[in-house]
Amino acid sequence: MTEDKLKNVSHYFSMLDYIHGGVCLLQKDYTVLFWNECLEDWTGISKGDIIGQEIDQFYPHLKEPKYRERFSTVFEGGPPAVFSSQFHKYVFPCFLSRKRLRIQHTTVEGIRLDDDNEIYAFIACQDVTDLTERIHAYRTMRDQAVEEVKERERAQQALQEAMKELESFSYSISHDLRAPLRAIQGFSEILAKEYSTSLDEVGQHFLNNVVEAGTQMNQLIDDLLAYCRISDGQEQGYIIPLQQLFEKIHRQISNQLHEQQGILELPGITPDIYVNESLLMQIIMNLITNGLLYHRKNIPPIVKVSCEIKNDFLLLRVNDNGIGISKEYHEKIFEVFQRLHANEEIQGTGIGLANVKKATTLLGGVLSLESTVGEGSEFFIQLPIQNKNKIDIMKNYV
Amino acid sequence: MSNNTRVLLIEDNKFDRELVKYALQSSDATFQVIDACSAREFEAHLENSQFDVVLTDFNILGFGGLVVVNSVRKKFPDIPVIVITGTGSEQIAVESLKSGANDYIVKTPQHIRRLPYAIAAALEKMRLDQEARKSEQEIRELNEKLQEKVSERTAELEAFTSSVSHDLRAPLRRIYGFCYALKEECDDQLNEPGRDFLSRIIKSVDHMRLLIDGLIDLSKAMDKEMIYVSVDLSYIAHEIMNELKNDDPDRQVEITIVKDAKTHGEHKLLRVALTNLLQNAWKYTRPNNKPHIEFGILETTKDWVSYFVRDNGIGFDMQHKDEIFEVFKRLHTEDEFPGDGIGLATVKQIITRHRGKIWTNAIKDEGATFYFRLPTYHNAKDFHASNNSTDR
Amino acid sequence: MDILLVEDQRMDIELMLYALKKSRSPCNIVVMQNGQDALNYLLDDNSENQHAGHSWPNLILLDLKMPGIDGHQVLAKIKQTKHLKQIPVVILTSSSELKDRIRCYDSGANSYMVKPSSYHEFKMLIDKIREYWLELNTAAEDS
Repeated sequence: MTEDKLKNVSHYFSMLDYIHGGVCLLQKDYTVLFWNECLEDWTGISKGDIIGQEIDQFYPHLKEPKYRERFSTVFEGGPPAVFSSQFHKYVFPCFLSRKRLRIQHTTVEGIRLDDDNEIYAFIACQDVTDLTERIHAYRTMRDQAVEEVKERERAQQALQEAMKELESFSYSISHDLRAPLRAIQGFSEILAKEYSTSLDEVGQHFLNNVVEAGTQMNQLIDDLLAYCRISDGQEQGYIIPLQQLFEKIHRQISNQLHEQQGILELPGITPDIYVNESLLMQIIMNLITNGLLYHRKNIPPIVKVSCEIKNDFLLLRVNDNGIGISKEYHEKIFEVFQRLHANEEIQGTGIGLANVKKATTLLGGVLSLESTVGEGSEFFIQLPIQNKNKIDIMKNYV
Repeated sequence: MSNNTRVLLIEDNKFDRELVKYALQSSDATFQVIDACSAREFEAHLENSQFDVVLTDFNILGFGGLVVVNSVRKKFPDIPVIVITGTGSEQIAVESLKSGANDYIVKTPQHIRRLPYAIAAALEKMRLDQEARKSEQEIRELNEKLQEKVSERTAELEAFTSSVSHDLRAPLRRIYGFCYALKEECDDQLNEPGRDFLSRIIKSVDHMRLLIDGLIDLSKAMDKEMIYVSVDLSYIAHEIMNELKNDDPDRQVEITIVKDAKTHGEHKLLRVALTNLLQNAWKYTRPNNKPHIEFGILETTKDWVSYFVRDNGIGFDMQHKDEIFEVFKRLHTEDEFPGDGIGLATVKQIITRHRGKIWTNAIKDEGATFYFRLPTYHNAKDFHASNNSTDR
Repeated sequence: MDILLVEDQRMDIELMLYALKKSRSPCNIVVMQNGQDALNYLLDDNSENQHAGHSWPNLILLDLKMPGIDGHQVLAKIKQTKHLKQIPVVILTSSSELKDRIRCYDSGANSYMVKPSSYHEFKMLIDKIREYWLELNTAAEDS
């Protein structure tokens, strides 16, 4: 080991004193030829102490085969050895604090100096402590987040299942009440058909009542089922142009109009938007039917439907000239089964308006009512338009 | 690392300030250094909060670096603080980190080179922390919303159930009334088949009324208010069996009821549950010559007491062990055993609302045992707490 | 007149009339199908009838859910009117809601009955009401 060589090396590699990583140069016999400032700093071993000495004296662990073999390969002109932080936390142990070691990524490359045919080991140590720790923290957080998402999904699923159970329960109720009702209606119909002639006036009257009450119950359960279906979200209807919907309504309502001797005015010009057919049908039909049904005595019902688009909302108005609804009932009528009028002259059941409310809510809309007793009512519905031209179920409705 | 990171540097030594700025300059990212050389300046900057990271000397003239760490932590929990120290002692490092500093750096030319990386790492960590907290918050809110929706829905369905039952009663009563009137007044005007149809209508009305009454029970079981009281199940069981015996005095049934089975819960609901179970046992032991019904305690642990209602009646095939608790599920026809198929669903609802469990074991033609366990509550507060904590 | 029945549901009226017809002692019944008509009948009696003393019922059976003026308002008016408030008013309704009950008793209802779902019980109830209020009970004034 000549002084010259060391001087040359020291001169040659002097720039490496400024870099952020540890650099060490080893001769074939494991003598340290260069030890940069960073390594001094990290290891606490000064250049003066280590240069010219064998590295094994300071780091005996490097005598182990796992290091020796790889260094030998390099000295023999083989490919560089990489001591990745994943498997070897360090080649030269460096402490950050009393307990903490720097986590390092070390590469050992063979290089030649001058015209010398010798191969020297150029050892570069990169401190990846921060990076490693960050990755670790990130991974932990990411795993936690994934776990939380899974947890949330599980909770969501459990809740949805509970809801489904409740849904099918209500469906069950409506559905299973029909069986005995079918019997009741069936047999009373037979009685009416076959025996009304043999019954006297009183008897016929009683029988008519039985049939009528049966029909009422049937209607009730029908409406209930419709209500359940809306609640189920099973009313995932087709999307059709609003114009088409009004045409359908016009066709369907004609019988009722004739019976009630009523007049229905639908909008002349319809905005060019697409709507959830079954839900909007529920809303508009129920309101029109109500308007026709609850008319004032001897005054033919007139129902007007109008709509306009304002700011991304479809504003629907259905007004009638019927008996009106007293203000104290404005909330209640939308509850299931609220009936305000004697069923003698008027045949509605109480669920229609509840369906209107349900459907409106599903579409993300709002519903309001203005009415004067003895003059008429106006139902006002505001529905948000999605994607510029569509009215459909709001997705965040679980 | 984002560009133009604003660094609030609290350092009263001119040379150390230069050192820091030099270290920051030599990295790729750009830093804007804001100086604070005194307590007053620090406080002023603290008010303005125009910085992304705080670097403070440990031995700041006038106030300790840890004070800085604390103040920043309190006011801006999301802004990292890095302590730079001249000494490098272990003690200081630990203290800094303990009081909330993100990192510490020793003020030597070599160490200081680490500064840009330390800043980047600290900012990154803060960012990740924030994100984690945000998503935690989001998840919690979402869960709450879901819970709310389910509660809403449940309440809706309850109202629905009771509405259904309630409002179907009127037409039902009328159908029955007029059929009855027909029978009374016009019996002679109807021939045999006519009378038969009439009685079938009446039978269906009865059936429907049973269904509806059962539904009303069930909807009451779903009802919100649970009032916590001490309930003597043995006493209730005795009462129920006496009622059953009174209604059917000719039946000889051997009855065993455990003594002093006391628990806590909603009195009315537990009574309904026990009534349904005992009624079932009474009903399904009818074909048996030596019927035996038992209400007893299976097991007592620190947290639970398990009870059972056992009979030696007709039993059922265990493949149905889950579906018998469903609404309207009946394993026998109306003629064999009259019933509404709702009773067990009601029992299950009640036991579940008490945070208990119900299960069954049966052998066809030999008998059935229904087990249910109820948690032991030591006081009303626990009962209500556990009832409010999760969805119903 | 024995009983003033204020009830809007036609079928329930028929059933009640039928039940009363079949009871042990027949009675005279007047039916009003809405609250306004009932009040008009009770309040607008001309002085001739007043003196005769026949026009007022010995018992008023009053439903709550009716169109227009509901049963609560009819009850309140009756119990606030000097010459009417002594007439026993039995509320006969399908509602078992607490708030309805409280409101009725606060207004001075003499009794509150919930229409049973079973026709037999309904029939029995009508009969019992009749027996209690028309036979057992002693009225304020002899009719």
